[in-house]
Amino acid sequence: MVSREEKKNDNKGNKKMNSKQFVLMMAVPFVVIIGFILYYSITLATGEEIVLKVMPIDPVDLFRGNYVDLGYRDISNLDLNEVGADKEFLEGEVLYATLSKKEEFWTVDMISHKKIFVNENEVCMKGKVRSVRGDRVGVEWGIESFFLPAEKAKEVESSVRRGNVSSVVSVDESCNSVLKALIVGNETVKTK
Amino acid sequence: MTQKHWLEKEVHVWEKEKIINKSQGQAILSKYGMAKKPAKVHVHEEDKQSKVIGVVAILGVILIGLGFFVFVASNWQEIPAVLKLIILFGTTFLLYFIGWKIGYDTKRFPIIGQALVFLGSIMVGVTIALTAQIFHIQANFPRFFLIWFIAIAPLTYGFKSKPTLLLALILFGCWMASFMSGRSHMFNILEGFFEGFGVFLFYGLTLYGIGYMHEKSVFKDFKSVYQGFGLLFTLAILYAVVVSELEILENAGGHWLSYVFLVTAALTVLGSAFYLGKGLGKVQEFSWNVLALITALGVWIFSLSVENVSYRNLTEGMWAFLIFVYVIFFILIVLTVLSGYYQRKPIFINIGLLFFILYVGYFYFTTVFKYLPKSLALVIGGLILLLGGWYLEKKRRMIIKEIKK
Repeated sequence: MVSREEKKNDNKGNKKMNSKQFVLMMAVPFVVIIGFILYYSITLATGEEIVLKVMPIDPVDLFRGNYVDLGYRDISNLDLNEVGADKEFLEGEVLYATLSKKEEFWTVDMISHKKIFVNENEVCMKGKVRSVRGDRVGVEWGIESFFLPAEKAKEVESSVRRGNVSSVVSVDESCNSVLKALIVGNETVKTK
Repeated sequence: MTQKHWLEKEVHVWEKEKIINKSQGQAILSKYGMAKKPAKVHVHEEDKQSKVIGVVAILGVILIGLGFFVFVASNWQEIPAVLKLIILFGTTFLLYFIGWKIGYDTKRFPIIGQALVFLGSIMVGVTIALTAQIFHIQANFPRFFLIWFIAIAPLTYGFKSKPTLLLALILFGCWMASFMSGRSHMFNILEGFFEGFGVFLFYGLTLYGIGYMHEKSVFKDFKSVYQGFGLLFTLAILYAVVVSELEILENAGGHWLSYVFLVTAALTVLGSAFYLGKGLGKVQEFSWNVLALITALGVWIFSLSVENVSYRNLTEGMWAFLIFVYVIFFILIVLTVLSGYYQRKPIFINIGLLFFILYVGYFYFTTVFKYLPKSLALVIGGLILLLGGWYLEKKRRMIIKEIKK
């Protein structure tokens, strides 16, 4: 007769995993993934919306379906002669930028190594220095990809090349930014 | 209770728990005059039938699953975001649930259960990537590898899953490389690998040491995974130094992580000495650890002290150091095979022989190939591979057979 103790163990004498333990373990990846989603959802839901002028870069990602690669006319490459900076930047450094709205689009006024205090009509965005060439600093903001069905992506790409596209970005108080939608001509493109 | 009465009761319990079938139970009882001898003892027929049905059922489930995935993939863009998340989470959970149920709870199909748990761990990565797509989160690969690693690392221990552990170790390595490159794109991982070379020199040894820590625990099966992967990684790194003729060290920086892993690698050697002292380890293993640490340290210090290393303009001192690395690497390969033999670990032998072949191949193509006519060099190379491969394989099987005895 197999004892209750023996039933709890497997052939190697190790304890079997009961359903409570299984549920507890399943909580780990789901908490991590939900935490990841919430981190961006909070920014989407509570952040201030700004509009940035898009300029074209490149095509297809082999691993994650079709997407439009986006560059931004006013924030992807910064000229230190036009934009104030606290000190020199090196590749890979985190960068904080103050943006304000000028006519239709938001542009960078100042960049810093630390989070900047902003006024009511300003926002702060966080990025990473991609390249430094003399006085020009290339920055990645984490909003350079927009996923679309293949055909739609091609349509949007050609609109981007015609200079007909801008993006709606949500920016929160921690300077995190999430891409919300693209404005192609008069059409707003969001994924479902 | 008489013995016969006890036996009759136990046979019924064995039949109930499917340890034996009815005809076998009857055969046992008939031996002691307690039942009529069966006309035929069905040993495999019923098991075979149930196995066939099981396989057919599994194939059916796989086909249904594949059909479902094809349908979802074709209509992915049309599916609302909330439903996408439900599908992703649901699939991940289902894989883990079925894997746990059949492999860990009822233990009816342990191997399939473990495979499903591993598939679930891969699905976690797919879920993270597609969730990022839903929210237009840029392909930030350092973050992606790290989140995937954090999500599955506890499950490797929870499910005691060796394949998931291996996946976690690979993800951690990829994260480190991405992190050190400082860039987000997938192709910058290789760049990070070169720039953070000093870190990786000691990472493999550190993993070997982590293997020791599992020796006396309920996760002692993980020891071979950590140590096998650590060994493979260390030899791969040193092989990269050999074939690049030190050029790979040009960009190997003094990243702060190098110092952290240097300390942990040194602790591995101390651990190895401790095990040897306790009579649990082998001299070959300890020697391997010491030599690997000394070599890694020598290569790292060399990388910090020189600039513009190119095989076209190696100085005399650099040549001497390169020859030293050639010799030491060969000794490490021999120690790997010996360590595997004396510790009865076939995986070490396989890794050692793999690097032996790569090492010989490197010298063949950089020396013999240069000085002989191409056609002759290719023929000779082919013959060496054929005969050498046959001989090595024969020896490998002989050694492994001897270990398993």
